Amino acid sequence: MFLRAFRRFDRRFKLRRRLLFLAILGLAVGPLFPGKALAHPLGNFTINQFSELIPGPDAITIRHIVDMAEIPTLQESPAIDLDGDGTLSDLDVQVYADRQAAVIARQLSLTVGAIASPLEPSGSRALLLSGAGGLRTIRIESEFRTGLDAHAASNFRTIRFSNSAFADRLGWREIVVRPAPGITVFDTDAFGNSLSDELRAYPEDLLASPLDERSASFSVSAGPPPAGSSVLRTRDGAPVVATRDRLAELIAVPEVTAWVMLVGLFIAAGLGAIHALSPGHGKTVVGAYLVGSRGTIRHALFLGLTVTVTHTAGVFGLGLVTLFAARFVSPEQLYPILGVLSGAIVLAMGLTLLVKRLRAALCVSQPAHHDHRDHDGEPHSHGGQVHSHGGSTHSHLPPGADESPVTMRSLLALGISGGLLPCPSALVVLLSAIALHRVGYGLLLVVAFSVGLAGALTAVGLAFVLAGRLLGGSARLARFSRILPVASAAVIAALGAAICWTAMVDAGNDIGAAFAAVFSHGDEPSFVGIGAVGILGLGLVFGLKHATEADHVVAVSTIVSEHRQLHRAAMVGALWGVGHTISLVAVGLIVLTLKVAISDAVAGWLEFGVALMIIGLGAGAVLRGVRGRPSVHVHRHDHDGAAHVHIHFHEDGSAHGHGEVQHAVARLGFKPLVVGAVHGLAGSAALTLLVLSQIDSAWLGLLYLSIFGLGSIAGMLAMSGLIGLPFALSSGAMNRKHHALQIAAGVLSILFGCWYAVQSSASVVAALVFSGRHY
Amino acid sequence: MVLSAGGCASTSPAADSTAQPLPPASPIAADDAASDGAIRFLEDKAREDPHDFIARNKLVGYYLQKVRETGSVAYLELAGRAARESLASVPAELNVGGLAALTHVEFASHEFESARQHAEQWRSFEPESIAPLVMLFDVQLELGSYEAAAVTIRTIEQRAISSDGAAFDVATRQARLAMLRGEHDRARRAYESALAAAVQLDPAPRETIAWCHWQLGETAFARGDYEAAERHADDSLVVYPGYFRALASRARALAARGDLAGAIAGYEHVSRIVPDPAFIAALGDCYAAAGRDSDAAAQYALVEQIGRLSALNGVLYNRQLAIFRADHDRSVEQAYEDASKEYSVRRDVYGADALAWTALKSGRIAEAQAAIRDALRFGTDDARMLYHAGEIALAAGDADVSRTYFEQALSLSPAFDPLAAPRVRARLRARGA
Repeated sequence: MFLRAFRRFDRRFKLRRRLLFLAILGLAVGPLFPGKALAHPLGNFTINQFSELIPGPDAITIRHIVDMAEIPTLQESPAIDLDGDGTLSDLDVQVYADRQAAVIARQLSLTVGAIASPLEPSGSRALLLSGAGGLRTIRIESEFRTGLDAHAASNFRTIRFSNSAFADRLGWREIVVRPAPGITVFDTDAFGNSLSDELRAYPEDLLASPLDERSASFSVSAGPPPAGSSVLRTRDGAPVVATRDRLAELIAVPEVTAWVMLVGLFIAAGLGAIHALSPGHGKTVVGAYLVGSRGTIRHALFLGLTVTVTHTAGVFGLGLVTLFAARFVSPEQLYPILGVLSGAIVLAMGLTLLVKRLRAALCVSQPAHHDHRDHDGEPHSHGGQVHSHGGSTHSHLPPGADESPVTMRSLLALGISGGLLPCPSALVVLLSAIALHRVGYGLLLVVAFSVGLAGALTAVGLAFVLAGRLLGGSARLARFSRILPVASAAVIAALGAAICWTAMVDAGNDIGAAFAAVFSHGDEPSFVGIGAVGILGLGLVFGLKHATEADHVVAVSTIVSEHRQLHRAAMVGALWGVGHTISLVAVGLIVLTLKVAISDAVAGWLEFGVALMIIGLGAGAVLRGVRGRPSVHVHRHDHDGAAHVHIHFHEDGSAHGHGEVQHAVARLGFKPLVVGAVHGLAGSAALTLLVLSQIDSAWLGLLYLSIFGLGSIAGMLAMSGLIGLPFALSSGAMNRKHHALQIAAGVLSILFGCWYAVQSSASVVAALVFSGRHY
Repeated sequence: MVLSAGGCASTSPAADSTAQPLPPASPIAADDAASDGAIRFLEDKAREDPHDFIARNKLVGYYLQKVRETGSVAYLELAGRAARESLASVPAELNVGGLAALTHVEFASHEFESARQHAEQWRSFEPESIAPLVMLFDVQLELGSYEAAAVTIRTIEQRAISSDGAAFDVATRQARLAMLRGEHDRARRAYESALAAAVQLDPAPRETIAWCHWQLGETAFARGDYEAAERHADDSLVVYPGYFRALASRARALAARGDLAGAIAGYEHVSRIVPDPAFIAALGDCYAAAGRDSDAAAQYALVEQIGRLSALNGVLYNRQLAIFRADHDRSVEQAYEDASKEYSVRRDVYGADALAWTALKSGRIAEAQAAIRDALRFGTDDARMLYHAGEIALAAGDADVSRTYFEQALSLSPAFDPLAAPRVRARLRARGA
């Protein structure tokens, strides 16, 4: 199962990257072929149609596009050229579009409930485009409307649409439903997005027969979908986010009176609170943080304030982007980036806390002098209770004090991460408010919503704080409280990683798709500038994701298993990233300057080399684990004048602040660097370089590489930190446990290496099994 | 002569069977939804696993069926892509299905020489099977390797005796041979057997059954029985409404029976669905016969454009375009070059006819005479060929021979072409007067 999951992931990832290459390739090669020479992969005698159904509150609008390939355009030419002068004038084309719209209107049928609704053409235009062989193609865009009676949308209505225009003609037929703001579409057999970019770019690189969607049915409601219904989805299966919900309805009331406003604000705050309690809003993070840090009520309130301010600002900011910069970047593209950002904040905070607290916790068996040396110089015993400071009170605020578990900085970070990702419905409220000229009320609603959201988070925090106090009051549980800070930091880090991961996956999808779309319009120069920035942004995201590829993680985990300290583990990851980047840049320079490409065969061998390396690393780890070198040191030393003895374990002499000279310090060494470099040479790195060879500017290419490298360093730093966690935790315990973990990591690595070797050598093995007669 | 020496038909179980009553044509439910569902399912599988050669092999079969049903070149390209991807991930030695798929694609794409090589390779992997032999026979016929084809079909017939389910494949091949040799009755019986075999299949293959009816209509037209031709086309359309081959066949029968308006409507319809240059040219001819010269000119211009549109179009319609140009005295040099280039690699009788016709139109009378001799060497009884032979003889100054050919053509099929048949009649009248 594990391997299969990995394999699937690997494949998906590579496929997506390959798509990107094609997109970039298209950008580079595109100018060689003028016009739309490749526009009709479906054959040049097709008539292709796209219908977008837009159910609104009082009408249903249908945007219908007809894309005639070269031959039908030729066949239609006598009908278009009314004055018979042999040329198609703008007037000819416009008249033809209007006539076609009238014909198509009769061939589209729409029933609302059981009643057939006549469609009125409400506008049409036609464009002549240049096609293959010096011929032209024609694109007719028309719009139809049918009114709904006043209550139609407020009830659940089933709407059926069918298209019998050009019924016997070959061609692509696509139907998309895009509900207007405020309308929910559910129980439908149609999809929410176009596969062909509205007949502008047909998928041509895959085995995909043309879409043939001739009818669709769907239900609409003005409110949320009824229980048990299935919502509209994109073709990938992702639900189409309702563009408006209950919050957005508040802005759309017929009249805004003082009473309506008051009630509206309360409802908005309530919705904000509910929103905060829905999954994925960092409640757990807040709780874990405050409990682990022994926060106070003031902390919880401060947190609430931060979330309110951040969320409000986030909504406004995103609103401004949508209003003024939607042409360049859409909110859909920003969301995943904000998601990664907020996840990264949490992850960074979690890891920092984890390192700090682990240090404190692991020093339990020894005097934790370094953490407490600032305490008024007075010697104190650590008889098992770390933090009962014998009645001596110390403030956790103001910030800056090292030992203070709650710092303003981390509180602020937490608050920002909680509020950074604006709730889409709050954004819609703001936009609707602007559209309805109710900006003031809209702003108030957004603030109320944010307050409600923050209130709920604060309440959660308070609950944790109070619960923590009750716990803390019990002396019996005091021992437990020692582990609590570590555990809470680990939870925070893990949640941060999870948020980051899902957001990255989304970002990879969305950005990939967005840029593929951008590149497919490579003939429009306005996109080129964005393209460069986009490539770089993509480099970062892919770098981050690249670090988490299975073969990388496995290799690094064996090295990490040698280390028992978290920051060292993280450093291993960072060093791996550096090695990876160095080899990448080196090969990149060669590729860019000599314009050579890495052949498939070479890449295959490199991949095989990686497999061997992973096996070797695994074997090494197993050997080390079996041999083991339990080195128990007894130390006698003094600090601050107080002498004491302590015992500790370590195998590589990791320094911990006293008498470094007494221990042989095994350096982190070149191993991660070398392993990273080998990875950099192999496999998908070679593919990355393929992208490079398609990027025109060498400087842009190098910049992409560097940013990709940065991403991979950061990604592997985080990964190896996470991997190092069990090793770091087990190092405080008996040595045996640690060695068991090390052996486990080694065995896993060997197994993975073997599998990887088989995978990279050939697929013929699989073929032998199936060499039957299948035709 | 090679073929008669082969004597293949006498041993055939199908062609010798006594005339059986034709099964009545009845509509067959479209299985489009099922096959479209299968296509999407297999496409998803192929997308998920770049090495899933089995899904790709199956896709080729479905795509080629789509080509047969819709005439769409797009599906032919998809089929080629799928077959090549299949063989790229698993070599032919271990992937005979992929090899078979590629061979079919190449045949459909008129890449006959590589189709022949791949069919031979396929046979070497499966020496006992009929399928590669049938493919090989088809290719040999297209390439004009009639001696080899005669050997192949004898093997096929021997194996078919002990093999169920081969009846359809054998009967249709025998029919093709019979047509080639001018044995129209034998061809009709063979197609009837093929139809009977196809109807037995479960589930009933809609397009295959419609195709048999259409073929019966084509043979009826060839022997001048236009009423039967129309009836068979109608049967075909009952089985498969909107079947483009039958629509065109029906329009041609209507034209031959004097219903020019009906023929024009039919050709207008079919050339909108599938703009095959042959249909568009025929529509132009009907317009011309009805005196609508500017409409005719527009269609003729369209034919030329289609040939130029894409390389694949150029390959697929090469012969049609050459004959069209010769028919209408347009770019006859180009037509001759195309036809002679094709005949150098594909030496079938219809290719010889195209070469003869274009050679005559471009003033190469000796070459035309040699080529038409090649074309008629098996006694193919085709009114159009006979008309060409008559014109060539006339140009060579052999009025008597010419007259014989013209009379043969008209007695076989008095209205074989809306423009050419009246011309032949006029020639005979001029001589007779």
